[in-house]
Amino acid sequence: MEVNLPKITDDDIAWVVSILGLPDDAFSTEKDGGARERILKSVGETLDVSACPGSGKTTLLVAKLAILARNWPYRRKGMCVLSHTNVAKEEIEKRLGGTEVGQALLSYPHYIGTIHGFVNEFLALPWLRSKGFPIKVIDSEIAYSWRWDKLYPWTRENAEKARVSKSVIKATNSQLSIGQVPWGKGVLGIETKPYLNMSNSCRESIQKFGIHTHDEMFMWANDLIDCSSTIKQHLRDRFPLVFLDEVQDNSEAQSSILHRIFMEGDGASCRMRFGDSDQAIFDHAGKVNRAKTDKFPLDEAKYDLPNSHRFGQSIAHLASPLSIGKMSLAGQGPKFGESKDTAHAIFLVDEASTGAVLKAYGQYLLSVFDEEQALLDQLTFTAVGGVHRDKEGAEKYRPHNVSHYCAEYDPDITNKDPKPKTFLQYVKAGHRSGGQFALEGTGGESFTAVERIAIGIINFSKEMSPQFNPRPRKRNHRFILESLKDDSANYEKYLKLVSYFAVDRKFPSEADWSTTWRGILIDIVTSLSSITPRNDHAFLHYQQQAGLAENHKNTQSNTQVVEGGGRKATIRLGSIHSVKGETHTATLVLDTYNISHHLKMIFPWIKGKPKKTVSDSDEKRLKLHYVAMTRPSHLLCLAIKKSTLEKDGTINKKAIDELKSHGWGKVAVVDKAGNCEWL
Amino acid sequence: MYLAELTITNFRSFGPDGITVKLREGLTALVGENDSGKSAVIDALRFLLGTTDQEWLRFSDDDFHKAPAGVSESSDITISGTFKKLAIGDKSGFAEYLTYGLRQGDEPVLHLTLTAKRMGTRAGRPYIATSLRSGKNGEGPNLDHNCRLLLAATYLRPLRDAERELSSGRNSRLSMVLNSLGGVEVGDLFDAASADLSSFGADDIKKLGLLGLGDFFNKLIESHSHIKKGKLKVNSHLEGLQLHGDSLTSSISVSQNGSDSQRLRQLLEKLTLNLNNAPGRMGLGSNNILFIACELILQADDQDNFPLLLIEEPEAHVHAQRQLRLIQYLQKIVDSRGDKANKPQIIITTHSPNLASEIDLNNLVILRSGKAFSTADGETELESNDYKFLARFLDVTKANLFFARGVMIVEGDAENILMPTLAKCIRKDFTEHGVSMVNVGGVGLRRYAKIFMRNNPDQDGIQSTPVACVTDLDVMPNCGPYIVKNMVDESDWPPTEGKGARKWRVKRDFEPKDKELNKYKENIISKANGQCVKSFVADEWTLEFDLAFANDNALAEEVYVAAQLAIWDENDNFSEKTLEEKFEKAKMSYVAITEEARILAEDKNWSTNEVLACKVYAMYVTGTKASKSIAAQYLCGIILDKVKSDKCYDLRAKLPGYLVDAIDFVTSSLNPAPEGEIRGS
Repeated sequence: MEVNLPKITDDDIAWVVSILGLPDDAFSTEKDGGARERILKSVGETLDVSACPGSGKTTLLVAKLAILARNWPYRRKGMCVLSHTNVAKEEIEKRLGGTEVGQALLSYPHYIGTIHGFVNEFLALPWLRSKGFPIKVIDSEIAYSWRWDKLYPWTRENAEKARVSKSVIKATNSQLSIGQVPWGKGVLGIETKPYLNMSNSCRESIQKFGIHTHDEMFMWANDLIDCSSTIKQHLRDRFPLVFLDEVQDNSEAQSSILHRIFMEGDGASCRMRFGDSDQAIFDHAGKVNRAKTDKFPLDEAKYDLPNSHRFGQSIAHLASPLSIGKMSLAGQGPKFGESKDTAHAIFLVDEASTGAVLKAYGQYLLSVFDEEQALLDQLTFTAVGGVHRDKEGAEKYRPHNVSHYCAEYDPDITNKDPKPKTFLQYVKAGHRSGGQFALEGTGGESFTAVERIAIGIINFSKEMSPQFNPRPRKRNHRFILESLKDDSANYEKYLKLVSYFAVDRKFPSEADWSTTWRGILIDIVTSLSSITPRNDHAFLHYQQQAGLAENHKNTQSNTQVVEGGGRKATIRLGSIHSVKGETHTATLVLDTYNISHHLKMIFPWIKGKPKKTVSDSDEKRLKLHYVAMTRPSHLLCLAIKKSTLEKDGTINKKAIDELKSHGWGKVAVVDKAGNCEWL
Repeated sequence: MYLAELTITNFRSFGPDGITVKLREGLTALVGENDSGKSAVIDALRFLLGTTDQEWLRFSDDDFHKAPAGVSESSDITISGTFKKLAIGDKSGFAEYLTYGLRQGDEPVLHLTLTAKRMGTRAGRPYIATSLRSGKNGEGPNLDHNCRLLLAATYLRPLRDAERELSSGRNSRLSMVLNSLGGVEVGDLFDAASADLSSFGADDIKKLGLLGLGDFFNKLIESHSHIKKGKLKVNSHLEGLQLHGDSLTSSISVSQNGSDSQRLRQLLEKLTLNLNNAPGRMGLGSNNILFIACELILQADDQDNFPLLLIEEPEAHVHAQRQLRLIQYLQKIVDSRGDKANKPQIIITTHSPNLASEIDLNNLVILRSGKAFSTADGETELESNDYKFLARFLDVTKANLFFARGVMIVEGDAENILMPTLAKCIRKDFTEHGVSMVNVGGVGLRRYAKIFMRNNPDQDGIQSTPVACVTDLDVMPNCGPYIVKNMVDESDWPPTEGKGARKWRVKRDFEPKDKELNKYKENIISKANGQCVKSFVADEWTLEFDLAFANDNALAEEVYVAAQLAIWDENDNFSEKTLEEKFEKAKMSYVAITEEARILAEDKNWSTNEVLACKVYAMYVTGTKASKSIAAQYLCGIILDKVKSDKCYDLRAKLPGYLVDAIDFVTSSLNPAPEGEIRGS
């Protein structure tokens, strides 16, 4: 695709540096051997940028977008910026939101969003609408359970016995065929009653109720491209420049459809990809679904950004061995002096002391960071693990997940965009994000809480009745008020609810909940969805707002506070997935278990003696923990099972020496009270 | 891309059933009488697409259709449009809003739906929420603001004050036009604060852009000695007026401030558009043409924008020949782009028969009774080759039919002259009833009628305008050939079939008479009959014969006298006599022929009525023929005189039945004029 864009000049770069508030030399020729400047100035060239953690690629991307948008000559062609998250979009909103350029970038003709959002908006949804199929819910989880619930009880019971997954009921092609259904050890015949029953349920959910899965959206998108051969050209004409961020996380389905839309054949769009294949981590544990189509990075278009501005050389040195792409990290972050460079620590734990390691870590933090409390509160201390959700039978593999380090840990409120399971979790999440925004000074405190609660009510109403189908909107609270305006009794009840939970930020006792608030919520949902939920519906379960009574722990936001010497350190807990892209002051990487203990398995890399051959499972573990170990700017700590270093029941002195000489300044055995014995 | 269809419901005069207007690629003209909804359609388009003049249109309470009393309030306004024939740039630009066809090879279309809902009142004012969505039935995403701007139409309002629009002043149209032309910012700026006027040379001035020149000029004025002198004087007074320690000073500057773009706008607003070589102030018409030219600049200049031009009543203030020139020019603009991607679409409204006759029938949409009837090929019962015929013959004298509440189509001048008078004399004044006469001059009677017949009445509805086709039966009484063709013996008659066959028909040709003659008549009627169109065929032979024959020769004397007077007129006979004398003489002559007729009838055993009527009609077709149109003039005079002088003169009882029926039919408009109502406010 030919694009005629103005050349990017030094003036442009100077402008963007000032508007983004970056240091003057942010994109100077000296940085990364001039790679940043070249990437910024390249126009109409297909590039793959391999960026190390903390390299500031999002800033680079935003800067480039800002310059291009400022000189953008087209009214009907735009830039397409796709990612898995809305990080780039949020960055633009935050840094450029108030400016003309920012507004231009965020609106027509440009597109900035997720791959799913793009595929839906430009292909799948127009096609479904054209076919006259309703569109009410696009959510795999809801769709699968809706379809499952629609089956005859007989089918359902037998299917459950035959260990059939709910997810088999999905349309695999535009004829809405559900394809092959595994049944027990065999395959379900397509003439059988259960098969027809499943097939009908799928058909009905799509054609009549507009309930779709995410996979089906990709199917429809591909179907439209099959049916309308020129649509690719139109999309390429519309988006002559395509930017893909976080490419390492693309699944095969995503990668192949993007390749099909923008790259395949003649007249490809000009594409710039950003990613770090070392950080490719997936939500689906145990399933390698890395894209095979359109490998990233392509050697002929590859640019490396090995310089991290997040951390210093000492952390770079510790994390580098875990890089699958063998990127040699260069720590160009702020320098902190000798004391912290040698402070990176490993805590050895056993069965009994697992629960105490956070205390040990906290005490250690207080000793390393001697700042005043006020300053200390501004630092980010975290503890993260690869597995964070508890599971039946996990006990025997302690430490299996984050909750084994902290019993109050609640995995459901840790995601960036939490999808709570009960109304009270929505309330908690609302309180939490409200508080967070208030701290940052970026958002109205009650607004976010109100919205969170309103979304909870809307989602619950949707679950009750597929007929209740509001389109996604920005102002859910307004929407509920509008919907209830003819039902003054419930209108009042809703306002009362909002004022109690969101404005006054109260949390009810179990008695208050079951005598007052639950009933009010049921009335509101009944009015919205015309179906009355049962009293004991899981969404209405009560949950302790634990942590308020106990001073030191606060599971409400998954934090733990450790006190010592009159000061205290607040540690935030989470999964490695949940902290992708973040920067922390100090990070404690917790060993967790999936088939085997992660840190134990990658111990050779941790001590700087990588194995020669890397198995698939090693690769996954390395990538996951590479992400974890590249979060901190100042201090990196690990919590490893003591047995990993033990030989015949005693700690192997040689291993300790290897760790220390590799750069792990401190190694300690933690006892069950959280005291450290430094080795 | 062009807007192919527009559907409007609950907006102004269009009720819940709505109206669907089919628009043409290129030029479409909406024609129709006053209050037919032409402006409502244009306004609906302005609401839907927005306009390039950035005028902020908002719905008000009276834009909502008023439901008849007793029916609950009408609900939301919806205005939806469908764009077809999308070019590649359109398909990519609107990629997220398209609706695809389900069959292989179907082209995608763009649907837009604007809805306006009444949401009660806010702060004492009615609050109306609007949303603009894409997709079938408005189920797609909202249209982004930037994207909507691409669709903005250029709108030329009716009865515009062209002179004001073209003159200088705040927000003048000219300033907007000039500002939006590309290249307005080319050239250097002038830095008024630091530039040194003394060293600013001619070459520097040449390099200045428009804004630079403006600023430079202002600086020159400000530093002129006269202005400086004034400033000094003011300052000397100021000095005397201030208290100790104050330091007030004044400066005089050209009032112009703000950002570069604001100052440029202010500069452009000082300009006025004039026609060269006009001796003085121009009339409204010329200004209007100038204004339209000005708008066309904008259209041609923008490649990305959807090129839609809405012109209400382009005929306003413009005389007939210029109207035609204007239409030709608009058509030329459309044609000149051929099949290019941004071929302009022009929608005009008009009630000028002049314009309507000049525009291809394919491009007309007739608005009537809340419905829109496109007359494009395929929409009417006209055949494709009829369009070629009508393109040639549908001239300004016939174009009235697009605006009429009733249409009478006749074959010749005599009918054209007579029918309005006859109608008036039986108290069915055509003018009063909004009935138009169409004189086809012998050819294509039914083609004009079929303009009103829908090919797809179930979908479009039926036009409510009654259309009467009045035509002859052309079957003589059996005595006819002997009297008007001077045939003596039946053996002289050519055969009805084969070589040398006669074209004329005699009643005797039809056996059994009732059945066969009726069949013959039905056949004539069926050529144009149905929906709002009805054919009225002479009961006997021709207009003049039937007038003379009907109701026991009730008007035979009048028809004879008129013919006689016409003959004398043309041949300059008895020119020395007065009209009354001639009139008396003709009457005498009539008495003579009645007597001849009686004798002839008796002799041959023919009907006396038929013979007399034949003899009267012979005045028009044998010997020194009377001119039918001149005779018609005389007949009108005679009948008018009789009606005036004799209060009991019952013309209705004297006229042939088919004429009375035809007159009653065309004046029976199913769409009576809205009754005026004056209410106290």
